[in-house]
Amino acid sequence: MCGLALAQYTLARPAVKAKKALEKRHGFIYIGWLMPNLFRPSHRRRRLLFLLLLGAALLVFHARTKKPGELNALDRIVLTVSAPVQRGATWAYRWAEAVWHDYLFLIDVQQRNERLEREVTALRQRLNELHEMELENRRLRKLLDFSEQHARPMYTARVVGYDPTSRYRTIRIDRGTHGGVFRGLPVVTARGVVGRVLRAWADYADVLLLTDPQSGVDALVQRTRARGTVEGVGEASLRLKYLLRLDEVRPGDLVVTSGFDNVFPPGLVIGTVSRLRRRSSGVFQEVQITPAVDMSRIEEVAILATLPAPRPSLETRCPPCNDPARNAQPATAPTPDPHLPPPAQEAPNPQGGTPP
Amino acid sequence: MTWWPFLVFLGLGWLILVLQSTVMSYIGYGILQPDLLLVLLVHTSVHRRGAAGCALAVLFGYLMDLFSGRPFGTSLVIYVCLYFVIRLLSLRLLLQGRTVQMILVAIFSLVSEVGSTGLARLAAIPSVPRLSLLDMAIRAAINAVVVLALFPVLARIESSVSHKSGPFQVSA
Repeated sequence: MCGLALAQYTLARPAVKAKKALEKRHGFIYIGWLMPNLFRPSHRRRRLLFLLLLGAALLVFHARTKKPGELNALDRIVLTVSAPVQRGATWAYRWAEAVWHDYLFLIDVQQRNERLEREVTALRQRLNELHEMELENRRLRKLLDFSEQHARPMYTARVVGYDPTSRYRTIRIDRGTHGGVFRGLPVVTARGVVGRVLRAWADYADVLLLTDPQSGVDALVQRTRARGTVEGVGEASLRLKYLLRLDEVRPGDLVVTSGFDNVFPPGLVIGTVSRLRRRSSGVFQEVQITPAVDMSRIEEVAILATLPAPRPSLETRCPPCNDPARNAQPATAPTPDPHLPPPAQEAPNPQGGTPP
Repeated sequence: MTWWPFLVFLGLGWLILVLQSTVMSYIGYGILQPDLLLVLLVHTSVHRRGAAGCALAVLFGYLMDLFSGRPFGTSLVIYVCLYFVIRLLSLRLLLQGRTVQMILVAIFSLVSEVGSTGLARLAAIPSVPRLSLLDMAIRAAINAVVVLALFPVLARIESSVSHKSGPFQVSA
């Protein structure tokens, strides 16, 4: 503290002198940028406020970094107020876009034949609505088929907002803890994996997309069963890491979830291999994947309602044998992710009903 | 004592974030999306001092953390630091010309991006998204261009609410 005070005094003194000299010569002159406020001896309160605020901010950063995804009461209030507005803004934008495409482009025609145009526009709008409904119906039907295929309950939700920064990849959906969604649940579409729930509150949840560098999924190359970890790179593509150099992969190979991470069930499509680079040395090869789902155009998603049960080990899968030592050995389950809720549990549904 | 100007700018920040997370996401493309909240922060830091300025910087950082997937607290720290850097340098008079405003917003945008990455690295947060210097520079340039449209609007809002007196008055 003494050192700091001495440094500030040393820095402030010449600045004060310079200011006085300039004022003497030229009258009043603003030289605030020459003599920063922090060095002025009279600004101790500001210094203290800055240090206090910075300390508090760093404390929040440190505390929240250790428990990512946890929301306190204030967070919930702000998010609960904001999410419906985001939903409204999204709806308004889509409506305006629809009006622009369906109506404003046809103004010239309207001038030629107003009555006919009005009729055409109305019909077109109706047709568009029906078309949208049909598309939505198809998408939902696919999701339903997907649910039946995987024999797991799931919830559907609409996307109401995207991450405001271009750096992180999250989306906001209109189903939260009241709808049975909680942190860690896998999120998919009929085309493939989307990501996992980052945080959830009352009626909304944030989903960390697969393309975000913070996400990772245990994966297999479907053709060769070579195993690796798929990570986002912050752009439209993904990266398959830890794939051994000798593993055979070629562009066009399908990459699917392995199920070993106890989050995603095995066999969900992640994407296709688009590029690979095998260096002359090193243990691993670099593989780039194009995701099966276009993350910028997601409208509806499905949230798988339960986390999968850990894969049984070989001991539990093979029939009982006569080796007593082997039988006495307990089956070892894969270590679950400590950040996630315990696996093989039914998602809590406060409403008591079965998931849609 | 009136909270009106403070609440107006807080509401504006919230509204900007909502727009940034919805409409702007559809219009913008990748890194070509401006950071309107940062531009607002620079404006409020220059024009609002004392408790109001601090509170706005803290609340903007908190809101940005809530709305984005950044590690929680990153924006909070960055915004508080930016606020004090702006106050420290007494930029009020320097920010008179439009070109100077644009350059300073670009610089603060770069500082914000670099600071965000540095903070995450310091805290050893795994898988921090990589953003090249070129990307940062492009974003900074876009934010600088946004100044042309946003600063006059903010100045009008500022002048319409600044006649109120109280603890959150506009700096002289």
